[in-house]
This record gives sequence, C-alpha cells and structure tokens, in this order.
Amino acid sequence: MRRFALTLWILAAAPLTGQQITYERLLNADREPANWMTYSGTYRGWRYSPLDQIKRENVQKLKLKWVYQMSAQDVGTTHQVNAAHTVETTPLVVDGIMYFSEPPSNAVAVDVKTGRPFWRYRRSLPRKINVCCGQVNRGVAVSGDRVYIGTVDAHLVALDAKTGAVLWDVEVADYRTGHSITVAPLAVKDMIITGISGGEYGIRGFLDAYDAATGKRKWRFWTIPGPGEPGNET
Amino acid sequence: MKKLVFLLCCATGVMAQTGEIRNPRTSPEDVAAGAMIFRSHCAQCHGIHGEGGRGANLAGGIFYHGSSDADLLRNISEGIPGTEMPGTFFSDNQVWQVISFVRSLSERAVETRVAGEPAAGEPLFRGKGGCLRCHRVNGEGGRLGPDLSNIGSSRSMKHLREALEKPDSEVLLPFWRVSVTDRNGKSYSGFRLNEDTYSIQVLDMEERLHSFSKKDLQSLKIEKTSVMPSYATVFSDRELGDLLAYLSSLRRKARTQ
Repeated sequence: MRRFALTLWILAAAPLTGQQITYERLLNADREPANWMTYSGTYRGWRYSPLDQIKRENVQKLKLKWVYQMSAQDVGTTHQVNAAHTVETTPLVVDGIMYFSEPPSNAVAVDVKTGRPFWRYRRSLPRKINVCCGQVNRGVAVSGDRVYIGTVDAHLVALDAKTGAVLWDVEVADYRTGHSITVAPLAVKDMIITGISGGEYGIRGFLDAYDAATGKRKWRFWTIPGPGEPGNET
Repeated sequence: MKKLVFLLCCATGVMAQTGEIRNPRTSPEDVAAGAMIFRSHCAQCHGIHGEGGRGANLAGGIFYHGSSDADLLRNISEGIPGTEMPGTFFSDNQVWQVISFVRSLSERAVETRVAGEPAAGEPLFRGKGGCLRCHRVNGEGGRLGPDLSNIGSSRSMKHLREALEKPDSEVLLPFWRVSVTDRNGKSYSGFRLNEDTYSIQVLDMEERLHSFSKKDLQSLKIEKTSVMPSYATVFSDRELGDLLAYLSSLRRKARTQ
C-alpha cells in the first residue's frame, strides 16, 4: 500500500490562488462540496459528500488519472524499510490543491489535476519511537494559509501552505515515554486541537489546544482523571 | 487471547530497540580511510576540514540531528529528511570509518566565528537589510526566500558571506526563477517549486501557486539566478560582520536522542 491512486472529481475550474481558510469557511464547509477542508468533511463529522456526479450507474467508468508515489524509505529505523508503514491519510482538497500526510510523519501539497507536488515536508525522526501499531498518520488540518500535522515523535508542526516551510514546531509530549501522534489535528477558530496516542504504553490521555498562530498551548483536557479527581478511584 | 499476543508484541518491540549501537571502526587506520572517503564525497558541501560550507560545520562536535554513533550512521547512510543531506551508497564499515574521521575533526576544531555582534546584526537584518520581506525566521517574515531559522547550523560563515555578497553563486532549486506565458498570452513569474518532463509548479511573486502543463505554454524560461540583490555595497564591513554574526546565531536546539 505504498501507492495510492485517486480518480479525480470534476472540479470547478478554481484558480490555485488559495484563498484563506477561515473559520467561517470551515464552519460552512457543506456549502463548498468541491472542497474537503477538514478531516471529516465538516464539523458535523458525517464524512458525507453531497456531490452526485459519481453514482452507482457510472462508477465503473472511472479511470486512473494520476498516481502519486509516496516515500518508500523509512527513516525511523536504521538500514531497513519498515513494512508497518501503511497509508491511512484522508486527503484535504482546498481550492485546487490537495494536502495529505505520508507515513511516518510527512506532509505534501499536490496539484489536484496532475498529482504533481508543490512541496513536501519530510520530518526527521529520532530512532527509537514507540508506536504500537505502525508509524502512520491520518491526515493534516488547514487553517489560514497554514497546514498542521501531528508527528509520531509527538510534536505538532505548523507549515506554510504555499511552501511547506516550518513555522513552528512544538513538543506535545515526550515521545520517549510512549507518547505519539497519529491523529489528524482539528482547526477550530484560532486553535489547533490534537489528541495523543500511547495508551498501549500506559500514558495518560489528553486533548490539547494550541494557538494556531504561535503554537502556544491554550489548554489541556485530561481524558483520564488524576488523583483526587472524580472517577480516579475506579 | 489475540489482544494479549498483540500487547506482548508491542512490549517486545520497545525492548528490542534499546540496544546501543557503537562504532566498531575507530583505529587510526579507520580514521585515515574515513578521511579519504570524506574528501571525495563529503568535502564538497562540508568543507575539506569539515568546517562547513553549503553543508553543516562538522568540526564543532555538535550534530544537530543526533550525536550518537547510531544517529550518525543513520544520517550518513540514509540522508536527513527535510535537509539537503542525501543518503550514500557506502557499506556500514565505510560509513563507520567516515564517522571516526568526522569525530576526529572536533578534536582540532577550527575557528569559524567572525568579528561581529549578533545583537547589532538583528536590527540590520530587520531594518536596513529588509531581509524579512522575503526570508522567514521562526515563523516571522516572507516566503519568497529560504527560511533562515536554522541557517547558522547548516551553513558556514564563508558560505553565508558569499550568499550576501554574491547571491547568484549558488541558488537552491526551489528558488530558480521562472517566467512563463500561457496559451492565452498571460505571463507569470516566480519560483520553480517543482518540475518534471511535462509540467512545472510555480510560486509566483504574488505568492500564489500554479501548476502548468508545459504543452499549454507559449514560453517557459528558467534562470538559475537569485532575486536577491547583492549586499556587498549596502553594508559596511562592520555591519556585514554583525549581520553574519546574527545569521550564524540562528540555530535550533540540537535534538536529544
């Protein structure tokens, strides 16, 4: 599963000018069915597209339009390709540009018409990362003119949507204690929200919100009650 | 039961990763053999004495992508993602010899500082130089030039000076200049982000992205020159020293493994 192919929807001839992705656009994402601007399509989380051009009667006529080859090299280990790398990303499509993640923690922006990349962010990872079930990534978030990705070494990274340059890179948790991020972040207003992985290694789970502009943490919600909190005794 | 087997597998995976890898080739002969390989394959970017150039300074004993033997083995063998450091085709033994040579460099580290004050260079960078119009530092600035947040650890002083005085001497691929005219006669100019036989991807000077099919273009011109002007006459020698000292101070924290 190192390759994935996508047949293209017929898109309105949108220029690749890349308008800003505002909270209002994300909130009303169902009004822009040609775009897929957040992981689940809309904040409702239905993952349902109202587009009806492709239907049961014509689906067999879909043809391959382009193929994008993902990186085959795993840099998380020495001298071996990690077969546990599978593609689990949900591509986002915004105004003619597709943003998605590649395992283990890379991000890429491609032209939807040709699949040719504009830029690619390749993350340099430490050698020892504890991820229970493969170094995967589920996708990116877009907000403003930025792309956000969580990494298997438990960082949250903001990238420039036009060039892929790193704007900030914050440590969400210490990867050496079994924390990692494989989930797609969620952009809400001026915040980027992410969960954490590592339950298999006994970490205490949480949801975090970071300032989209600066990467400063705004809040943390522990999903497991701590000592003295209701439910800790159970 | 399945779940138990699965959890056991996870636990074994962590334990299997804890063994430390050590360089088995550290004799004086290995250092000499490593020096030969270094001169022919690494010195072009890292300098003949590892002092840095287009590539990072390796003579200071600080390696920003990990300093353990295992880190160096991985970085030399496989390259460093997100940087210009490529992987190599050497055997592990040869890479170990190169590592022995590189480690020997920091024992006689060369002086690479300039006479200048970073604190005096920063206002020049932001003010008189107008550098943030195109360059970005830690998320602040423009996107029409390379991000300089970590430039001090990836470029030597000599290379930085040359980039300021003669910007055309080396221009990175995504910053080659592109001028295209499409089939409707509309012209665009910008930077060559990516290119293949049939298409070219461009960031134009208004910071918009375009993907052109070459067969649809009336004209396509690519120049390997920089849009950056020379600063040789803009700054005095002293100002240039301050600016270089500031650029050299732009370093991210070394990763701890």
